[in-house]
Amino acid sequence: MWTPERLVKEAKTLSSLPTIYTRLNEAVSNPWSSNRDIAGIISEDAGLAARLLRIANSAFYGFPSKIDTITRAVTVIGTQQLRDLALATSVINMFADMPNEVVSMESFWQHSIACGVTARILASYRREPNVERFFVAGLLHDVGRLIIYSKMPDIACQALEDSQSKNALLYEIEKEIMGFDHADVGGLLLRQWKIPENTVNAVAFHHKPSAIGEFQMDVSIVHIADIITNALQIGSSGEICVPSMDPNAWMQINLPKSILSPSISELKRQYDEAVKFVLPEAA
Amino acid sequence: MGVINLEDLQPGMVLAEDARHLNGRILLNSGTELTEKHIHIFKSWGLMEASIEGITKEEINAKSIEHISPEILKEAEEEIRRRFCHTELTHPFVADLFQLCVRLFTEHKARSLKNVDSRETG
Repeated sequence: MWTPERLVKEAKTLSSLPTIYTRLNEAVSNPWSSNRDIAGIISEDAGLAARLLRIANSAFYGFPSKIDTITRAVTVIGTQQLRDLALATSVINMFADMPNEVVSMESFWQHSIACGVTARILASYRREPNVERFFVAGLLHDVGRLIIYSKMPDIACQALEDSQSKNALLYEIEKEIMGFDHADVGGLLLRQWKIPENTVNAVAFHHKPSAIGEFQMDVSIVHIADIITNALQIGSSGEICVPSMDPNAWMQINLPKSILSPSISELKRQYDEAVKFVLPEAA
Repeated sequence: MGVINLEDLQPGMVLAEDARHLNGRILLNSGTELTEKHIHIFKSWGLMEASIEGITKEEINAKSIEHISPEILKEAEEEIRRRFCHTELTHPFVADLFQLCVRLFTEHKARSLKNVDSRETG
Protein backbone atom coordinates (compact mmCIF):
# COMPACT_ATOMS: atom_id res chain seq x y z
CA MET A 1 0.00 0.00 0.00
CA TRP A 2 1.41 3.37 -1.01
CA THR A 3 1.43 6.30 1.38
CA PRO A 4 2.98 9.75 0.92
CA GLU A 5 5.67 8.73 3.47
CA ARG A 6 6.63 5.60 1.53
CA LEU A 7 6.68 7.48 -1.80
CA VAL A 8 9.06 10.13 -0.47
CA LYS A 9 11.22 7.51 1.25
CA GLU A 10 11.60 5.48 -1.94
CA ALA A 11 12.42 8.48 -4.12
CA LYS A 12 16.08 8.03 -3.22
CA THR A 13 17.63 10.45 -5.71
CA LEU A 14 15.44 13.16 -4.17
CA SER A 15 16.33 12.45 -0.55
CA SER A 16 18.36 15.61 0.03
CA LEU A 17 19.20 18.91 -1.62
CA PRO A 18 22.66 19.60 -3.12
CA THR A 19 25.17 20.46 -0.35
CA ILE A 20 25.87 23.85 -1.92
CA TYR A 21 22.30 24.89 -1.13
CA THR A 22 22.63 23.75 2.49
CA ARG A 23 25.87 25.70 2.88
CA LEU A 24 24.34 28.75 1.23
CA ASN A 25 21.36 28.54 3.54
CA GLU A 26 23.61 28.33 6.62
CA ALA A 27 25.61 31.34 5.46
CA VAL A 28 22.47 33.38 4.78
CA SER A 29 21.04 32.58 8.22
CA ASN A 30 24.30 33.41 9.97
CA PRO A 31 24.34 37.10 10.96
CA TRP A 32 28.15 37.07 10.96
CA SER A 33 28.55 36.15 7.32
CA SER A 34 29.21 38.90 4.80
CA ASN A 35 28.08 39.35 1.21
CA ARG A 36 31.55 38.22 0.17
CA ASP A 37 31.20 34.91 2.05
CA ILE A 38 27.94 34.25 0.23
CA ALA A 39 29.34 35.27 -3.15
CA GLY A 40 32.29 32.93 -2.42
CA ILE A 41 30.03 29.92 -1.90
CA ILE A 42 28.04 30.62 -5.08
CA SER A 43 31.21 31.10 -7.13
CA GLU A 44 32.40 27.58 -6.27
CA ASP A 45 29.69 26.24 -8.57
CA ALA A 46 30.40 27.84 -11.94
CA GLY A 47 27.13 26.61 -13.47
CA LEU A 48 25.08 28.05 -10.64
CA ALA A 49 26.97 31.35 -10.73
CA ALA A 50 26.34 31.67 -14.47
CA ARG A 51 22.63 30.90 -14.08
CA LEU A 52 22.26 33.47 -11.30
CA LEU A 53 23.99 36.17 -13.35
CA ARG A 54 21.68 35.39 -16.22
CA ILE A 55 18.65 35.88 -13.98
CA ALA A 56 20.08 39.10 -12.52
CA ASN A 57 20.30 40.50 -16.06
CA SER A 58 16.84 39.30 -17.16
CA ALA A 59 13.41 40.93 -17.29
CA PHE A 60 12.88 39.59 -13.76
CA TYR A 61 14.71 42.67 -12.54
CA GLY A 62 15.20 45.02 -15.47
CA PHE A 63 18.24 46.71 -13.89
CA PRO A 64 19.50 49.62 -15.99
CA SER A 65 23.14 48.46 -16.07
CA LYS A 66 24.72 45.06 -16.54
CA ILE A 67 25.45 43.00 -13.43
CA ASP A 68 28.66 41.14 -14.18
CA THR A 69 29.88 39.76 -10.84
CA ILE A 70 28.25 37.57 -8.22
CA THR A 71 29.28 40.01 -5.47
CA ARG A 72 27.34 42.75 -7.24
CA ALA A 73 24.35 40.42 -7.71
CA VAL A 74 24.35 39.61 -3.97
CA THR A 75 24.34 43.34 -3.19
CA VAL A 76 21.54 44.40 -5.52
CA ILE A 77 19.30 41.32 -5.33
CA GLY A 78 19.77 40.34 -1.69
CA THR A 79 21.09 37.25 0.07
CA GLN A 80 17.81 35.48 0.86
CA GLN A 81 16.52 36.21 -2.62
CA LEU A 82 19.65 34.78 -4.22
CA ARG A 83 19.50 31.69 -2.01
CA ASP A 84 15.91 31.10 -3.17
CA LEU A 85 16.83 31.58 -6.82
CA ALA A 86 19.72 29.13 -6.33
CA LEU A 87 17.20 26.60 -5.04
CA ALA A 88 14.83 27.24 -7.96
CA THR A 89 17.49 26.68 -10.59
CA SER A 90 19.15 23.65 -8.96
CA VAL A 91 16.08 21.69 -8.05
CA ILE A 92 15.06 20.86 -11.63
CA ASN A 93 18.27 18.87 -12.16
CA MET A 94 17.24 16.53 -9.37
CA PHE A 95 14.20 15.50 -11.41
CA ALA A 96 16.18 14.79 -14.57
CA ASP A 97 15.35 11.04 -14.49
CA MET A 98 11.60 11.38 -14.26
CA PRO A 99 9.65 9.39 -16.83
CA ASN A 100 7.96 11.11 -19.75
CA GLU A 101 5.25 8.48 -20.21
CA VAL A 102 2.50 9.77 -17.95
CA VAL A 103 2.80 13.52 -18.60
CA SER A 104 5.38 15.26 -20.79
CA MET A 105 8.09 16.69 -18.54
CA GLU A 106 8.32 19.74 -20.76
CA SER A 107 4.65 20.51 -20.28
CA PHE A 108 4.93 19.81 -16.54
CA TRP A 109 7.74 22.33 -16.07
CA GLN A 110 6.05 24.89 -18.31
CA HIS A 111 3.08 24.81 -15.97
CA SER A 112 5.34 24.97 -12.91
CA ILE A 113 7.44 27.87 -14.21
CA ALA A 114 4.36 29.85 -15.27
CA CYS A 115 2.85 29.33 -11.82
CA GLY A 116 6.11 30.41 -10.15
CA VAL A 117 6.38 33.53 -12.30
CA THR A 118 2.71 34.40 -11.67
CA ALA A 119 3.12 33.92 -7.90
CA ARG A 120 6.17 36.18 -8.03
CA ILE A 121 4.23 38.87 -9.93
CA LEU A 122 1.30 38.78 -7.47
CA ALA A 123 3.77 39.02 -4.56
CA SER A 124 5.47 42.02 -6.15
CA TYR A 125 2.11 43.81 -6.57
CA ARG A 126 1.70 43.27 -2.84
CA ARG A 127 5.19 44.68 -2.27
CA GLU A 128 6.29 41.53 -0.44
CA PRO A 129 9.93 41.89 0.66
CA ASN A 130 11.21 38.63 -0.86
CA VAL A 131 9.36 37.76 -4.08
CA GLU A 132 11.73 34.89 -4.98
CA ARG A 133 10.29 32.83 -2.13
CA PHE A 134 6.97 32.91 -3.98
CA PHE A 135 8.67 31.95 -7.24
CA VAL A 136 10.12 28.85 -5.53
CA ALA A 137 6.78 27.88 -3.97
CA GLY A 138 4.98 28.23 -7.32
CA LEU A 139 7.71 26.36 -9.16
CA LEU A 140 7.54 23.42 -6.74
CA HIS A 141 3.80 23.33 -6.03
CA ASP A 142 3.15 20.20 -8.12
CA VAL A 143 6.42 18.23 -7.62
CA GLY A 144 4.49 15.62 -5.65
CA ARG A 145 3.00 14.56 -9.01
CA LEU A 146 6.47 13.73 -10.37
CA ILE A 147 7.03 11.23 -7.55
CA ILE A 148 3.58 9.73 -8.08
CA TYR A 149 4.19 9.47 -11.83
CA SER A 150 7.54 7.74 -11.36
CA LYS A 151 6.63 5.35 -8.51
CA MET A 152 3.04 4.45 -9.35
CA PRO A 153 2.64 5.05 -13.11
CA ASP A 154 -0.29 2.64 -13.56
CA ILE A 155 -2.42 4.30 -10.89
CA ALA A 156 -1.36 7.73 -12.14
CA CYS A 157 -2.49 6.86 -15.69
CA GLN A 158 -5.77 5.53 -14.33
CA ALA A 159 -6.31 8.81 -12.44
CA LEU A 160 -5.55 10.87 -15.56
CA GLU A 161 -7.95 8.82 -17.69
CA ASP A 162 -10.69 9.08 -15.08
CA SER A 163 -10.30 12.84 -14.79
CA GLN A 164 -10.45 13.21 -18.57
CA SER A 165 -13.47 10.99 -19.08
CA LYS A 166 -15.41 12.62 -16.24
CA ASN A 167 -14.09 16.16 -16.82
CA ALA A 168 -13.17 16.04 -13.13
CA LEU A 169 -10.38 17.62 -11.11
CA LEU A 170 -7.30 15.39 -11.06
CA TYR A 171 -6.44 16.15 -7.42
CA GLU A 172 -9.88 14.98 -6.35
CA ILE A 173 -9.54 11.76 -8.36
CA GLU A 174 -6.10 11.21 -6.78
CA LYS A 175 -7.67 11.46 -3.36
CA GLU A 176 -10.45 9.09 -4.39
CA ILE A 177 -8.21 6.29 -5.66
CA MET A 178 -5.10 6.72 -3.52
CA GLY A 179 -6.45 8.29 -0.35
CA PHE A 180 -4.02 11.23 -0.66
CA ASP A 181 -3.08 13.74 -3.36
CA HIS A 182 0.05 15.21 -4.96
CA ALA A 183 0.03 18.18 -2.56
CA ASP A 184 0.46 15.81 0.42
CA VAL A 185 3.44 14.15 -1.27
CA GLY A 186 5.04 17.46 -2.35
CA GLY A 187 4.68 18.96 1.11
CA LEU A 188 6.32 15.94 2.70
CA LEU A 189 9.24 16.03 0.25
CA LEU A 190 9.88 19.72 0.92
CA ARG A 191 9.69 19.15 4.66
CA GLN A 192 12.34 16.45 4.33
CA TRP A 193 14.49 18.96 2.45
CA LYS A 194 14.13 21.33 5.43
CA ILE A 195 12.68 24.08 3.24
CA PRO A 196 11.12 26.92 5.32
CA GLU A 197 7.70 26.08 6.76
CA ASN A 198 5.86 28.79 4.76
CA THR A 199 6.93 27.21 1.49
CA VAL A 200 6.17 23.67 2.71
CA ASN A 201 2.64 24.78 3.61
CA ALA A 202 2.20 26.66 0.33
CA VAL A 203 2.88 23.39 -1.51
CA ALA A 204 0.99 21.08 0.84
CA PHE A 205 -2.17 23.23 0.97
CA HIS A 206 -2.28 24.85 -2.47
CA HIS A 207 -5.66 23.25 -3.22
CA LYS A 208 -7.17 23.95 0.22
CA PRO A 209 -5.59 27.12 1.60
CA SER A 210 -8.20 27.55 4.35
CA ALA A 211 -7.31 24.16 5.89
CA ILE A 212 -4.06 25.48 7.43
CA GLY A 213 -6.15 27.25 10.04
CA GLU A 214 -4.15 30.41 10.32
CA PHE A 215 -3.77 32.63 7.30
CA GLN A 216 -0.55 32.50 5.27
CA MET A 217 0.23 34.72 2.31
CA ASP A 218 2.41 32.11 0.57
CA VAL A 219 -0.33 29.53 0.18
CA SER A 220 -2.97 32.06 -0.90
CA ILE A 221 -0.72 33.45 -3.61
CA VAL A 222 0.27 30.01 -4.93
CA HIS A 223 -3.41 28.96 -4.91
CA ILE A 224 -4.43 31.94 -7.06
CA ALA A 225 -1.35 31.68 -9.31
CA ASP A 226 -2.16 28.00 -9.98
CA ILE A 227 -5.72 28.93 -10.97
CA ILE A 228 -4.53 31.66 -13.36
CA THR A 229 -1.93 29.35 -14.92
CA ASN A 230 -4.42 26.51 -15.40
CA ALA A 231 -6.94 28.95 -16.90
CA LEU A 232 -4.34 30.20 -19.40
CA GLN A 233 -3.28 26.62 -20.21
CA ILE A 234 0.46 27.25 -20.14
CA GLY A 235 1.73 23.66 -19.99
CA SER A 236 0.01 21.19 -17.68
CA SER A 237 0.90 18.92 -14.81
CA GLY A 238 -2.02 16.66 -15.72
CA GLU A 239 -4.95 18.82 -14.68
CA ILE A 240 -7.41 19.58 -17.51
CA CYS A 241 -9.78 21.87 -15.58
CA VAL A 242 -9.31 25.03 -13.56
CA PRO A 243 -9.02 24.11 -9.85
CA SER A 244 -11.79 25.29 -7.58
CA MET A 245 -11.05 28.70 -6.06
CA ASP A 246 -11.17 29.41 -2.33
CA PRO A 247 -12.68 32.94 -2.03
CA ASN A 248 -10.82 33.42 1.29
CA ALA A 249 -7.47 33.17 -0.46
CA TRP A 250 -8.47 35.89 -2.94
CA MET A 251 -9.75 38.07 -0.10
CA GLN A 252 -6.52 37.67 1.87
CA ILE A 253 -4.32 38.65 -1.05
CA ASN A 254 -6.29 41.89 -1.01
CA LEU A 255 -5.45 43.11 -4.52
CA PRO A 256 -7.98 44.69 -6.91
CA LYS A 257 -9.15 42.30 -9.63
CA SER A 258 -7.89 44.80 -12.21
CA ILE A 259 -4.35 43.47 -11.59
CA LEU A 260 -5.30 40.43 -13.67
CA SER A 261 -4.55 41.82 -17.10
CA PRO A 262 -1.33 43.68 -16.19
CA SER A 263 -0.20 40.48 -14.40
CA ILE A 264 -0.74 38.46 -17.54
CA SER A 265 1.16 40.98 -19.69
CA GLU A 266 3.98 40.81 -17.16
CA LEU A 267 3.84 36.98 -17.22
CA LYS A 268 4.22 37.02 -21.01
CA ARG A 269 7.27 39.28 -20.61
CA GLN A 270 9.00 37.16 -17.95
CA TYR A 271 7.96 33.63 -18.85
CA ASP A 272 10.27 32.93 -21.82
CA GLU A 273 13.32 34.08 -19.92
CA ALA A 274 12.33 32.09 -16.85
CA VAL A 275 12.07 28.96 -19.03
CA LYS A 276 15.58 29.63 -20.32
CA PHE A 277 17.19 29.83 -16.92
CA VAL A 278 15.22 27.08 -15.27
CA LEU A 279 15.36 24.64 -18.19
CA PRO A 280 18.58 25.61 -20.01
CA GLU A 281 18.70 22.44 -22.13
CA ALA A 282 15.19 22.99 -23.51
CA ALA A 283 16.08 26.45 -24.83
CA MET B 1 -20.33 55.07 -14.74
CA GLY B 2 -18.01 52.07 -14.58
CA VAL B 3 -14.58 51.02 -13.40
CA ILE B 4 -12.44 50.50 -16.48
CA ASN B 5 -9.07 48.72 -16.70
CA LEU B 6 -6.09 50.86 -17.57
CA GLU B 7 -5.59 49.19 -20.97
CA ASP B 8 -9.14 50.10 -22.04
CA LEU B 9 -8.85 53.81 -21.12
CA GLN B 10 -8.95 56.21 -24.03
CA PRO B 11 -8.38 59.95 -24.47
CA GLY B 12 -11.67 61.82 -24.24
CA MET B 13 -13.12 59.65 -21.45
CA VAL B 14 -14.22 61.61 -18.38
CA LEU B 15 -13.28 60.57 -14.82
CA ALA B 16 -16.35 59.87 -12.68
CA GLU B 17 -14.28 59.71 -9.49
CA ASP B 18 -10.85 60.91 -8.43
CA ALA B 19 -8.10 58.69 -9.83
CA ARG B 20 -6.11 57.55 -6.81
CA HIS B 21 -2.82 55.78 -6.45
CA LEU B 22 -2.79 52.62 -4.27
CA ASN B 23 -1.34 54.73 -1.44
CA GLY B 24 -4.35 57.05 -1.58
CA ARG B 25 -2.73 60.02 -3.31
CA ILE B 26 -5.00 61.74 -5.85
CA LEU B 27 -3.47 61.75 -9.31
CA LEU B 28 -6.33 63.44 -11.14
CA ASN B 29 -9.65 64.94 -10.01
CA SER B 30 -13.07 63.67 -11.03
CA GLY B 31 -14.61 65.43 -14.02
CA THR B 32 -11.29 65.64 -15.88
CA GLU B 33 -11.29 64.64 -19.53
CA LEU B 34 -8.42 62.17 -20.06
CA THR B 35 -5.63 62.93 -22.50
CA GLU B 36 -2.94 60.61 -23.92
CA LYS B 37 -0.52 62.11 -21.38
CA HIS B 38 -2.78 61.37 -18.39
CA ILE B 39 -3.02 57.72 -19.42
CA HIS B 40 0.74 57.58 -19.78
CA ILE B 41 1.16 58.99 -16.26
CA PHE B 42 -1.33 56.44 -14.88
CA LYS B 43 0.79 53.73 -16.48
CA SER B 44 4.03 54.95 -14.95
CA TRP B 45 2.40 55.28 -11.52
CA GLY B 46 1.06 51.74 -11.74
CA LEU B 47 -2.61 52.76 -11.60
CA MET B 48 -4.68 49.79 -12.77
CA GLU B 49 -8.19 51.13 -13.19
CA ALA B 50 -10.23 54.31 -13.21
CA SER B 51 -13.88 55.15 -12.80
CA ILE B 52 -15.31 56.62 -16.02
CA GLU B 53 -18.53 58.55 -16.81
CA GLY B 54 -21.19 57.15 -19.11
CA ILE B 55 -19.77 53.70 -19.84
CA THR B 56 -19.80 50.35 -18.04
CA LYS B 57 -17.32 47.51 -17.98
CA GLU B 58 -19.89 45.27 -19.68
CA GLU B 59 -20.07 47.69 -22.63
CA ILE B 60 -16.28 47.64 -22.92
CA ASN B 61 -16.28 43.83 -22.83
CA ALA B 62 -19.06 43.66 -25.43
CA LYS B 63 -17.15 46.06 -27.69
CA SER B 64 -13.96 44.03 -27.48
CA ILE B 65 -15.72 40.94 -28.81
CA GLU B 66 -18.22 42.51 -31.24
CA HIS B 67 -16.00 41.87 -34.28
CA ILE B 68 -15.81 38.14 -33.48
CA SER B 69 -18.10 35.76 -35.32
CA PRO B 70 -20.85 34.33 -33.10
CA GLU B 71 -19.85 30.73 -33.93
CA ILE B 72 -16.26 31.22 -32.70
CA LEU B 73 -17.52 33.05 -29.63
CA LYS B 74 -19.93 30.24 -28.83
CA GLU B 75 -17.21 27.61 -29.29
CA ALA B 76 -14.86 29.60 -27.03
CA GLU B 77 -17.45 30.03 -24.30
CA GLU B 78 -18.38 26.36 -24.33
CA GLU B 79 -14.75 25.23 -24.15
CA ILE B 80 -13.78 27.70 -21.40
CA ARG B 81 -16.97 26.95 -19.46
CA ARG B 82 -16.08 23.24 -19.50
CA ARG B 83 -12.64 24.04 -18.06
CA PHE B 84 -14.13 26.36 -15.42
CA CYS B 85 -16.90 23.94 -14.32
CA HIS B 86 -15.34 23.30 -10.90
CA THR B 87 -14.96 26.89 -9.83
CA GLU B 88 -17.51 29.54 -8.89
CA LEU B 89 -18.11 31.68 -11.99
CA THR B 90 -20.11 34.23 -10.02
CA HIS B 91 -17.03 35.32 -8.06
CA PRO B 92 -15.93 38.68 -9.56
CA PHE B 93 -12.30 37.63 -10.00
CA VAL B 94 -13.18 34.28 -11.59
CA ALA B 95 -15.70 36.04 -13.86
CA ASP B 96 -12.96 38.37 -15.11
CA LEU B 97 -10.53 35.48 -15.59
CA PHE B 98 -13.23 33.66 -17.56
CA GLN B 99 -13.86 36.67 -19.86
CA LEU B 100 -10.14 37.04 -20.40
CA CYS B 101 -9.73 33.37 -21.35
CA VAL B 102 -12.64 33.65 -23.80
CA ARG B 103 -11.00 36.70 -25.36
CA LEU B 104 -7.61 34.93 -25.64
CA PHE B 105 -9.24 31.80 -27.08
CA THR B 106 -11.06 33.76 -29.80
CA GLU B 107 -7.94 35.76 -30.65
CA HIS B 108 -5.95 32.55 -30.93
CA LYS B 109 -8.66 31.03 -33.11
CA ALA B 110 -8.85 34.12 -35.33
CA ARG B 111 -5.09 34.05 -35.78
CA SER B 112 -4.97 30.38 -36.75
CA LEU B 113 -7.84 30.90 -39.22
CA LYS B 114 -5.96 33.83 -40.73
CA ASN B 115 -2.86 31.65 -41.13
CA VAL B 116 -4.90 29.02 -42.98
CA ASP B 117 -6.34 31.76 -45.24
CA SER B 118 -2.97 33.24 -46.09
CA ARG B 119 -1.57 29.80 -46.81
CA GLU B 120 -4.47 29.04 -49.16
CA THR B 121 -4.25 32.33 -51.04
CA GLY B 122 -0.46 32.57 -50.96
